[in-house]
Amino acid sequence: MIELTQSGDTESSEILRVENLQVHFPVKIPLLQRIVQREKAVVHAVDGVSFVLQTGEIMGLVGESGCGKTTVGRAVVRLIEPTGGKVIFEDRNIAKAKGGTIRALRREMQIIFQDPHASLNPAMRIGDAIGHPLWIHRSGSQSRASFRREARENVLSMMREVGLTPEEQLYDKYPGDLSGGQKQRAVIARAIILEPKLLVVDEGVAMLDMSIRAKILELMLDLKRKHAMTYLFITHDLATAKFICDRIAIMYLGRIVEIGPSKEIYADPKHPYTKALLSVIPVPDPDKRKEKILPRGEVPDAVNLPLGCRFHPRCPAVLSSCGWEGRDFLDLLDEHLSDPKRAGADETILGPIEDWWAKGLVAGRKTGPADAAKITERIRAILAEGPAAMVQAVGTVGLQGKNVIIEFRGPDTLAQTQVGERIVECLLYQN
Amino acid sequence: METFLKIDDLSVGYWTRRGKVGALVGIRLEMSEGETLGIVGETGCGKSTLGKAILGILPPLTEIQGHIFFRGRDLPRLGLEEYRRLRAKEIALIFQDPMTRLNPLMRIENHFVEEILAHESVSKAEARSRAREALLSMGIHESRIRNYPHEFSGGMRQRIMIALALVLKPSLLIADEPTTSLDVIVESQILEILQDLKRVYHMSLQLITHNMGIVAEICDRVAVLYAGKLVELGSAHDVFHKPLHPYTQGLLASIIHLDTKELHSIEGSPPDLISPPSGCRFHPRCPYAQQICVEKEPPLVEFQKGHLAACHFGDTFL
Amino acid sequence: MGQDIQQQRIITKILGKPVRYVRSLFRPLVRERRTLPGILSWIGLVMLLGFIFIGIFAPVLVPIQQTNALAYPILLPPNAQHWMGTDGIGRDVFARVIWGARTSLTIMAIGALLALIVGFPIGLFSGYVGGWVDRALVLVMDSVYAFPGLLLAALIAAVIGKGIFNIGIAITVIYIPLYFRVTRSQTLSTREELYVEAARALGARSWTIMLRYIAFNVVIVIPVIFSLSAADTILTAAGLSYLGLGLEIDVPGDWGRDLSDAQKYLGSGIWWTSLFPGLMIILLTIGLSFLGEGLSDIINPLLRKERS
Repeated sequence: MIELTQSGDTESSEILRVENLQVHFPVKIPLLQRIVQREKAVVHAVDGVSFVLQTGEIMGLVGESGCGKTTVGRAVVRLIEPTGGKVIFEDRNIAKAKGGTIRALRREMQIIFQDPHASLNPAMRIGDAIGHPLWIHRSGSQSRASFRREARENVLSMMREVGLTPEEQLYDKYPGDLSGGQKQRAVIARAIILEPKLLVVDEGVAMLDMSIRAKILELMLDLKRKHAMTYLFITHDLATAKFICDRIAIMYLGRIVEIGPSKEIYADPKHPYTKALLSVIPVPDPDKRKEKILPRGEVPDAVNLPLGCRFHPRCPAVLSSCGWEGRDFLDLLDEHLSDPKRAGADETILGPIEDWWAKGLVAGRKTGPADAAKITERIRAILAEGPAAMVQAVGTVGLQGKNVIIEFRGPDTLAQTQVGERIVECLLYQN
Repeated sequence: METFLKIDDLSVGYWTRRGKVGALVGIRLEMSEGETLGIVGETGCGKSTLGKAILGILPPLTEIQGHIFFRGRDLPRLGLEEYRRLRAKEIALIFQDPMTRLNPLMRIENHFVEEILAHESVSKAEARSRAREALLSMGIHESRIRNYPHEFSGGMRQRIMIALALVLKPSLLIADEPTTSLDVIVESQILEILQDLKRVYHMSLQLITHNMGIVAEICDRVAVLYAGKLVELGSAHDVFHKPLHPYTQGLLASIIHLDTKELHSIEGSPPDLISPPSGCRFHPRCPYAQQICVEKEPPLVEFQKGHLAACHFGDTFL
Repeated sequence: MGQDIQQQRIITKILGKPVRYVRSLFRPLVRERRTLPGILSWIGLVMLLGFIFIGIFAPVLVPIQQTNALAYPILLPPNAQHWMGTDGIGRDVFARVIWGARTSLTIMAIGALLALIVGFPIGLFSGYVGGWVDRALVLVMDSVYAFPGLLLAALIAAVIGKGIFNIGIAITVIYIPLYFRVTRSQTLSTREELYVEAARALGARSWTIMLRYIAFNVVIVIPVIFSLSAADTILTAAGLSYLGLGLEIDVPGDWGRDLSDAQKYLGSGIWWTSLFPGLMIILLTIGLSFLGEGLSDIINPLLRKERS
């Protein structure tokens, strides 16, 4: 049973604990295909995320689009229901809470979305919009008229506080009449009018022009101090996160790969992905060009996750034990065959890429015994073009039944490792 | 020698229900071959309008005054057919959202074949092999060439767009916020590709963006637009190290980067272009504004060699 | 004094919403008055207002006695006294036509309003709730929609009997699915808006979200379907009367029945008894269609603009 009353335990300064959070979405597949293929495909949007938020801190959740950071935010404020794991807010697990409980929770946790324009009802006056949470959470004892007066006063003072002035005039305006910055101020005012303890900010300044971003960030910092709030600050912008976050969690493909105090992570990033993210932030000075570490290719899809460490196919510091598998060889082969200069006569020997299959650690194709030797030889040559770690991970290359196969040795188990004050999930730091 | 691209006193206006919007007013700008020019400014400053004006794809009923000379030809006065042949072949455009230009019902390969055949009389097989080559140069492999656009990620689509824009080897590429919807790492990859292309093809690039960081990274020269007017123009080095217009100074100060110690922003918000402020359009937000700024419009003055600004007090910032 | 102001405030509070809604409808009309859709809607609006004027002031314009049978000699051609002549049973055609406007508008108002009152909330509910409730409602509405309109109305009219109100109800049944469909599809797209999710994040209940966040953004499409279906209503009502399933015989004006009665004289060169009622049906339908089409052209781009 979930207790809604305040727990007596105020000693602990921990406000939110997320444990092994999982959010999987079913993939939409056509009906026919669904009948044929029995396996249910799911997008592993969030796949085992754990972190703790202390009262009064700002934690940054940073990563590229599709890494699951937004899903974590939505699951925390329970706009979506997690598939698994716990969301413990003030000592009660709300991961499976239902309707009424969730609605009551909104008093204490609020979320701000990226697009201030789309977050406001175009048919509602700004003042009404900001004050609406008060009405939603009104308890019945007070008379409507006196509540209306009080709510209006409350909204006006909130508007002054977030800098929506002159508040009396703006109160009656519609969102369409406001500028982007003003709309974001209104959204912030609406989110904090109930004085929530936790505020999730999902890319709160990304849509705003550079020249007004700073103002909104300052406002958020100000409000946090004044109202003793805790922020979960979701962003793709490491520079902004550095400026305002006490702690940072870097996410990649549904997992946190590195989490710790901002200072430590910015000064000395450990995970190769964090290093890459930091290296690509542009320096606003044409005379200073910094060395970039660019991971190869793109983020793979979250349906068929890479084996072992999810970053391994792109990692610049990859090891042979990171999770090489059949698919990785197919990617290499595809790249090789696409380039006429490198491919030469390989297409006739190896056949088109469509003939190849990959399953788990193994990749291969059907062949007659006559060609096997030639194919094996070419495979070794092509492997040599790939990352050294990949070659080292190859177990066997040869004929197996009617197939030529390449089999990789399995990966080492990945575990979270404490390095200084941070936790990294990378084999480089495991003993 | 004639100038590669010369924009002379270009004004673009369109009518809305409330009145005429002066999207661009009296723009003068030159670009030489092989150069990368950054066009920067906030939302609604007219930077996208400029790209569209060059390519002649502004909506109908838009009023265009002035000249855009591209290799001696005055673009706004070209015939429709002549303009069509020029697009993609000599001037190409990449948009912010690649999905807007890729037909969802057409295989990637066919986009290329169609575009090549529309401009050149080559065989279909030849067109196809060129498509392959172009895609490979962007890292799109053989096995995906016959896929549909929705089967690619955002970054891949943007690469396809770039490949498509470059398959006819245009001499001028206009990139309108090419990386805004992309993540930082993909953004870096795309920027790297653009820089490589510049080196290989000696192509000119006009980069329209609000992101000063990427301007610093790849642009030779920078043009700053504010409320439809060109307020500063100069080499990237000069503009970033010695900005002469208070607006440029504000923009630069408001960038949040890894070494940011203190947040800065520009007070107020961009003006309404239907009734812009008198005098210098920036004066209501300018920390240095004087009486003269309200009364008199500052001309674009060359304060240093190749470094122009439209500010009455430009010389005090030298 | 103070109480007066207080009352004033309460009145503006209550009337504020509808007044603002009406004003928000007229603003684009004023703004777009020079464009084709704007001109169309203004023409349509003026025509409709003309008909409403005629309908309301029919008793003042022509005495009801002139619409009675055998009030005059039969089948007089148009002349100075009877501008549109008299019909086969000696009624003044002009008087019938004027009183007919009153009848048609009444049916239209009943039919369209009832359809709105029933169709809009069901569409809103169905679209917002989704799931099997939605599927079931769509199925029901679609089967009603698939039925030929006039036939359905005739069937209902035959069951519940004649009379203005009954005809209104018969017609309502045909148009409920139209209101339902349009409202539902608009609700479906509005439901996905970020501000709806934001409202959920504020802790709002489903009813609050439906009424305060969705309804007001959906209601904007109503005038369009109202005008379009109203035009159709007139035709259906006329059709029912023409088939003899419409109004009682003593209704002082009924374009459809008059048209039906007039056809037997057409062969003998008596044109005026059919031309004028027919013309009125066409004019009112055109007016309403102009208004509907114009409004849909004006309002839809506005909707799109607000989205972007």
